[in-house]
Amino acid sequence: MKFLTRFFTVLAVACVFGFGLYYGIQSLPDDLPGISQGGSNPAEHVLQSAPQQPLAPPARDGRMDEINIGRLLRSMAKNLILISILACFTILAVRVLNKKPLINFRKK
Amino acid sequence: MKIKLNFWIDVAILCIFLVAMEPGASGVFIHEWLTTSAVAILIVHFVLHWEWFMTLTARFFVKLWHSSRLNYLLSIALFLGFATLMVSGFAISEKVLPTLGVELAGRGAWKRIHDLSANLTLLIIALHIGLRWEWVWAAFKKIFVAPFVKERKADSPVLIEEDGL
Ligand code: HEM
Repeated sequence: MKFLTRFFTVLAVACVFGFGLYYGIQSLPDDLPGISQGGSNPAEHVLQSAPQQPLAPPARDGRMDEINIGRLLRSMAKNLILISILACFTILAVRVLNKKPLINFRKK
Repeated sequence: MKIKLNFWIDVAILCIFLVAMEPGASGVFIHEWLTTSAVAILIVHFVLHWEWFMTLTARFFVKLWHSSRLNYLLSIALFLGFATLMVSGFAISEKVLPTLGVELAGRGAWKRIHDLSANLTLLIIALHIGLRWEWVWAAFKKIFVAPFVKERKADSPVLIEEDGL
């Protein structure tokens, strides 16, 4: 029961933030740089800027509807390495700030 | 038990995040459904740290500068990062929301917000792991090393003594 109450509290906080963000962004004026009107589908923007000459949606990078295991594993490895490097720097920074030895040779 | 549960939930979230970072390779269908179902796991992760969070919230202003404050602020940033990712993801959704019969009036900016929040969340995850490294390492040893060592201890106590030399 306690778990469920907490679960729904976290969900409710996320929803309040989510709706706030969504309506906040939606209500921004259209002439702000980077905010374009209409759907997020790139094809709609092409149609909006050239209504007389409907163009096909631009080709997307890679095959967006198929799974490509090789590419997926490569990208996962790349991001994992990136996360590891950043985490290592954080660990070093914390140790320096806490004045702990970076490598404790005396530890058994 | 709680350490094991926490550890495996963390590992699952990291794996799902890594898959989600490349929708071009997983396909948008898997990308959307996988991340939408991950909402529940993310919430469980937050709920499992509820007590830590509430204790720090109550004490936040008592001793303002302490390394745990950074952890605390980072966990809020992580929550907001994932929430932004989800909202912007839903705003550009091509599979999940249309299947559920929901039509959102998206706008061009959402794709950029989605991309930016994905990269920022990756950075925050790395800092989060770095700050919690001692816990991660201790949990790793408890789950993967301790049972093995215990088994050996029961099998041959002499071997353990030798190891200790
Ligand atoms: C952990 C959560 C998520 C992460 C880390 C994530 C990450 C990403 C990344 C890195 C991209 C590529 C952006 C680009 O190259 O411009 C992307 C694209 C996208 N994401 Fe997500 N996302 C998440 C959640 C969601 C959710 C919940 C949805 C919708 C239900 C969603 C829908 C999409 C769509 C439709 C695209 C565009 C694919 C395209 O280029 O056509 N994402 N996401």
